[in-house]
Amino acid sequence: MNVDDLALLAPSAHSLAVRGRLGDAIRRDGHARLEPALTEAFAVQCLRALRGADFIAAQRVDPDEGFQIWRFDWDPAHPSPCLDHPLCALGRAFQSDLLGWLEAVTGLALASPDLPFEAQRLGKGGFLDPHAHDRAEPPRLGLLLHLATAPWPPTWGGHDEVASAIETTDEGTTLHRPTVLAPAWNALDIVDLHRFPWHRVPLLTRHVDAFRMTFRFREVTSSDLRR
Amino acid sequence: MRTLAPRSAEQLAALRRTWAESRRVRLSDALVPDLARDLALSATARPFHYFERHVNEVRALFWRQTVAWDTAPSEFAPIAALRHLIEVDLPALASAITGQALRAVQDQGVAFDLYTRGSYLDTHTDQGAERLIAYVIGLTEDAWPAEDGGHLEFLAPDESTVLDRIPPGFGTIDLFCIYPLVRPHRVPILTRQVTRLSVNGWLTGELVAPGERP
Repeated sequence: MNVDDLALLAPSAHSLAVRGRLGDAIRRDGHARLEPALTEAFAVQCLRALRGADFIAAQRVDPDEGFQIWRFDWDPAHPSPCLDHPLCALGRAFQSDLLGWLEAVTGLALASPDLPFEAQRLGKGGFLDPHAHDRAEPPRLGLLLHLATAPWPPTWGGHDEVASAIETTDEGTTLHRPTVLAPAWNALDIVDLHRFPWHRVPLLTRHVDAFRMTFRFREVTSSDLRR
Repeated sequence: MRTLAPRSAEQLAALRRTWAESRRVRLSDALVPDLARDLALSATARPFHYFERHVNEVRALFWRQTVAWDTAPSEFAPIAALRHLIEVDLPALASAITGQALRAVQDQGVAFDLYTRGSYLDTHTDQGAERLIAYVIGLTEDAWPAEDGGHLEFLAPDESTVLDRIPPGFGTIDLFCIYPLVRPHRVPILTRQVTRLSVNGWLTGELVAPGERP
């Protein structure tokens, strides 16, 4: 694979310096941000596609593990395959060229990302209480692609938080010393989920215009290699 | 069938004075004993549906349970009392307090609105054909400070300055004028793990000028 031929990533992502900086940050901090992530034209295409997507509201009323989100799931292979849709193009890239780019950055051997891919529309009233994905066999990397047209302060809520552990306070369960991943226009957070398995989104109390997409990757195992 | 707690002539006169001064009034312990409890228990025993609306710039997000008058199941017996309250007793009481000839909106049923963490109702005015008065029948047993949201707020015309604030109540009836005194109001986003349950609606009528006979 020639990582310099990638068409969807921002040109700066191809440079050895940027890739080296990202890799160093992931190994040192368990987290790195690529900004800008996509070419501007492709980011705008994705934003338009997300604005036209049918997001489904999902909720759980629970004092400690509740959520209220708007999500849109898709699989780039269906409908068979969706060739001209930007989200499908992005999904296919994360299964091929961008997967290689991610391996080059992290030095990890990664399997194709978990399906379906998930996009979320951030909205007033949305929140995700502390949770961990697949605690028995957590994915190795989590990617958050932010497409927020305007930033907002953390006091409004809606900022992703990741952490190594949870803690219980008088206010309930929360994250222990969280790392905050602020919404931004066209930014990609790469998170080591073995270092930061816990995730939370505090209640968003204002109307915003923002989406984000999540991708989760597992390391290639010996059984994968045998196949 | 009696749904409202009895009130003396003095109490009614005091409510009229409060209405004349502020065009809004709260009736505490408004319902006959046990009716609020029975309504809350009956409603919470049945499923609520996610309710999200986006009309022009007004957005709302909460949970709603709609019960049709003619299909209410037998175990939902308090619904008959609620219908009598909404269609008969409440318009009569509101007419006596406000001096307007008020009648209920002819609906096919009733909606219970439930707010949980993350629920809200953006600023609006309730303007609608012949609507004069809005009512809130409070069925909320939890209590919490206003800074956690979920209280009904009346705003100045700038739609940001809070002029007045009504906490959720249990067994309460709040009446407030929506015409001719137009007041923007909202329920700020509820940030705490509590529940706010109420029945909300409007009373309609022909506007009567001071001195005219309703």
